[in-house]
Amino acid sequence: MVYRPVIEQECYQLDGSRFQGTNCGPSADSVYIRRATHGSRRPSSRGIRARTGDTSGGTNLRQLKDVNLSDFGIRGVLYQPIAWDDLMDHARADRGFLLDIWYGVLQHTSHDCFRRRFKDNHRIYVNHLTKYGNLRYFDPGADGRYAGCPKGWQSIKPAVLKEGAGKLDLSGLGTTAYRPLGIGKAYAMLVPKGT
Amino acid sequence: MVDETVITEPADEPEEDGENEPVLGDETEEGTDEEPDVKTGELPADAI
Repeated sequence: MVYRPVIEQECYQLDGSRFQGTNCGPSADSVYIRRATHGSRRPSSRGIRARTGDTSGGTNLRQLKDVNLSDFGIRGVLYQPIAWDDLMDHARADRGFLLDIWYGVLQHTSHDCFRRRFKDNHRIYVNHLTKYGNLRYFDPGADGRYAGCPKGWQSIKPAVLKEGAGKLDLSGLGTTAYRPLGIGKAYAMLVPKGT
Repeated sequence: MVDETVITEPADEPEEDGENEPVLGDETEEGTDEEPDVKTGELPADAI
């Protein structure tokens, strides 16, 4: 049976820390680490951020891969990119993964966690595929801080995240240019096999 | 002179990070590295 991490308060992105507005990556990674270690390591999002040493903007998957290996003994498998269909094969085999998406696909839905004010690149953690065919995922902003804001684990149709993954903007944050990754591809980092 | 690039947020785990701990994962399982690294985040203030 797939391990289902407990989401603790210090996992969430909006924690009042200096980097809360750019910390979706470390936040999603805090749940990824709980999954990979079955809860034996439970770092906070701000603690992971400090370990990256990055004080500028957001984070990328490679920074988290490096911290996970050096500080937590977790060898994640990073794909830049992976075919979406291959990623779903991993999901069917109960592999969890960090996933980068363009948030515009969630902005005006019940899954939105940012007051419908955000549609740029975002990172989430996907734990498993449910028996109903949905992906069970953690959004770093899903802390229930306002009426209508989701809290904790959510389920979503894979097609929605497929679109979000394909629309990831490779041109970089804060730029006016937009270069999508391409539908059918994804940036993702798998948890180790057997975890 | 204060170096403003120093992170003041404390790392939250006081225990030693184990150099001797077993590493989870298969080093022969390789990913792909064909596209550039991409950062995520940067919420506008009114999204918080």
